[in-house]
Amino acid sequence: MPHWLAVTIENSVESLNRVFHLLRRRHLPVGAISMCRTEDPQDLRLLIPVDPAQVDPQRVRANLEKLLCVKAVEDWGERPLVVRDMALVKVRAPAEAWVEIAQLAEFYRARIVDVGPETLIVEVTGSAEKVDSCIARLQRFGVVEVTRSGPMAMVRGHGEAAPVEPMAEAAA
Amino acid sequence: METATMTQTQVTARPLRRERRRMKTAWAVMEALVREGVEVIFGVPGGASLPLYDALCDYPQIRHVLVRHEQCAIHMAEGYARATGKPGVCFTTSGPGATNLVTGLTDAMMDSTPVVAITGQVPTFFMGGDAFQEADVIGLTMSVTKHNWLVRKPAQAPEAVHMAFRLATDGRPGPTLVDLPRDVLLTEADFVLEDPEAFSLPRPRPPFPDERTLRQAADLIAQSQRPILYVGGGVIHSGAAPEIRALAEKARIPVTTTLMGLGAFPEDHPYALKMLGMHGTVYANFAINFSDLIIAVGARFDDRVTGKLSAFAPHAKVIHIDIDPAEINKNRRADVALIGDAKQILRALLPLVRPPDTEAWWRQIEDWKARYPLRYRQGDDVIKPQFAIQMIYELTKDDRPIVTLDVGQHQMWAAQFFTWTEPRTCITSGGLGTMGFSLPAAVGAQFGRPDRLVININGDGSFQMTFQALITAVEWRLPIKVFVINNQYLGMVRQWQELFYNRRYSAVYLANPDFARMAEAVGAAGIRVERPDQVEPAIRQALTITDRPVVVDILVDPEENCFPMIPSGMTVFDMMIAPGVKAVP
Ligand SMILES: Cc1cc2nc3c(=O)[nH]c(=O)nc-3n(C[C@H](O)[C@H](O)[C@H](O)COP(=O)(O)OP(=O)(O)OC[C@H]3O[C@@H](n4cnc5c(N)ncnc54)[C@H](O)[C@@H]3O)c2cc1C
Ligand SMILES: Cc1ncc(C[n+]2csc(CCOP(=O)(O)OP(=O)(O)O)c2C)c(N)n1
Ligand SMILES: [Mg+2]
Repeated sequence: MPHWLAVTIENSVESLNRVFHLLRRRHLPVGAISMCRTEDPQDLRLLIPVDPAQVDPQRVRANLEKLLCVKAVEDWGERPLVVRDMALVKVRAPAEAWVEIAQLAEFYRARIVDVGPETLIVEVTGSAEKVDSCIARLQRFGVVEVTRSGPMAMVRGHGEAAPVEPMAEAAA
Repeated sequence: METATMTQTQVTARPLRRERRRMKTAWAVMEALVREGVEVIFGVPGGASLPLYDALCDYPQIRHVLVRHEQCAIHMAEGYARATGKPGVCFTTSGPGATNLVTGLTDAMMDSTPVVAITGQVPTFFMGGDAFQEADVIGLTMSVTKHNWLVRKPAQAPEAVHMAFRLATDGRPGPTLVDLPRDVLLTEADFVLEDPEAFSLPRPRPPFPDERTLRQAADLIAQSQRPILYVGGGVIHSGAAPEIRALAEKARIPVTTTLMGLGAFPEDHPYALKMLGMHGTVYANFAINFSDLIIAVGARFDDRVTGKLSAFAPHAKVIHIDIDPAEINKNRRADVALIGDAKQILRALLPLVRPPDTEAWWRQIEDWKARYPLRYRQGDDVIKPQFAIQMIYELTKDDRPIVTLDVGQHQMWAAQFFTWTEPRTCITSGGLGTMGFSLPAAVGAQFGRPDRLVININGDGSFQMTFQALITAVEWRLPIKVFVINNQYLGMVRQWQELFYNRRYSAVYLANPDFARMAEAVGAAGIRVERPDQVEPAIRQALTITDRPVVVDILVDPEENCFPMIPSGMTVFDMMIAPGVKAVP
């Protein structure tokens, strides 16, 4: 499980630029970042996975908190999370394969969202492992194209998700 | 030539109420600057910033100092800021004007110097289309400012300016930039002019350390046997010099400062170990490396201080006091971190502190001090650079000068051979090591402190990087004393080539002009010194010249090396006191 930092920023190219610029400039080793909308259309949430063996998440956070465009940094490191990934998978599918693909989709609680003359699009949602596995099974038919959201996450339960006091627990 | 003098205009304080006024944006920007208490701006005009310069005509209470290169403008702003603690301000036009600021902004970022740069930009309807003199100033300066603002609408302009001032001085100081497109500057709008107090940063502050953490720090001090205070530039920003002294005296702890911290603790005090690090004193470096507790205050464990990080002070616990949470555990893990303003934290800590027993520790330190004083040998023929610098110190110390140092050997010798006693009197480029910083910084410092003697100790290489600042100093009749420690080399680089590259000198010899005559040519006084016995009279003569700057070109031993030296990335056990001679603890 990566250690997630959930970073809420203004939804603008400029803010994204500032965040990425900072991470690059400081050579902070972070994993693949996903971007999500929130309940507020003005906001964008970046989910930044950090490996504590490589970098102290507090340092990443303290640096991010220096940016004016960063509205909040939540440290989701220890929290129970719901994590979901969504993929659209375009599969080459002659009519005779449809039933089999539909059964496979059923198994993954995926849906067929488009039917073309030679291809189908399957929509699958779930943990990254489940999505990986579904795509792997579809390979047999010939996967033409995949697009994925990357992980989206939310803290389980209610109330605990408020931003942690900034840097309250600085150094041990 | 129109000559302007320092006393030309008095800043007239006027009541700054909240006001509604219709005006062009350029004027609203000037109003914001007036409200921020700006008294002097360093800059060069150009197409995109013409509206600002037009507005400037209506604000005689703000002096504009015309520089000959924008790099000078920003170093002047830095010098002003470092001497006064107030943000320095510079104006440039778009494109090349703004890009010429990049070195200075980076310098200010590295040394936590508050400056506000105001740049003109091409009109908004041209932006992004490679218009004449367009540069992506926001993108270019993003990594070298705390934040920068592109103002797209008139109403945003005063707010951006005020926020730039708030942010430049908030927490850890640093540079900010406001980019103003020409069409926005020319647009008339209804402005609400506010008091600067009306603007605050939408950022949470880290909470002040709690009692428990402060007690942990006090306990570590009480239990230590070999404590040391490692004091940096943050103490000067914070104004915490008196608290450092109180802590040192209460707990009988030796104090060493970084290059940036020089002046934060009086070096004539018996507890002073002077500067540590690559060219620090032997005793400061032994003391920190054999210590069992480092109390780091506003210092950032720079590699010029630690050398090989994994071998640095291996037995020491660390109390780290810094205002920037991102500094904690950056280079060295802190056992107790106290995040916040040094002065406030030290004030809260002081009553809890119980003196440890440091008798044995002090005996050890006195032994190191006795065995390894800073030294050089002055003969009869060639001037030793250390001698020249020591003479400058001796002959000016009673005037309590503000001293700017450039980058290289002369910088290190001045750090070593001056006795620094007062904050904000040593102004140098530490983090970036920007050659050419010191002469314009001296100009800025003199504008900020017209009451003080300002001295510039420069290198022959560095002097030539921003020589043109002298022209500005002449125009304003600034009585700055420039001492060029002329070894006809890029000395610091030559030293590395001598010691680590088998004496293969490559591109370090400087075929110099006659600096004294160069000075005379631009209207400054020039004195050339070639023999040891001329040094003292020349300095005395320089001190009598008060109606213009003076350049004293001192020809020194070309191949003198700067010691002690811990070679880059090495440890205290590799500390050289002469070529091939190591200090032994
Ligand atoms: C040729 C050359 C040689 C050098 N050799 C040496 C050397 O031998 N020894 C040496 O020391 N340096 C040397 N330097 C300088 C060195 O590169 C660093 O610039 C310097 O060591 C950094 O000083 P500092 O740790 O005090 O940090 P600064 O850069 O001054 O940083 C200040 C710190 O204080 C914090 N701070 C700011 N405001 C506050 C506040 N209000 N309260 C609390 N904290 C605050 C900041 O967050 C920051 O962490 C050399 C430079 C050059 C160019
Ligand atoms: C802008 C810039 N370019 C190059 C360097 C690398 N450098 C560091 S010290 C130095 C030599 C400085 O020469 P001088 O000003 O004569 O000082 P000296 O060391 O001889 O006292 C150089 C080239 C630098 N610090 N800054
Ligand atoms: Mg030189």
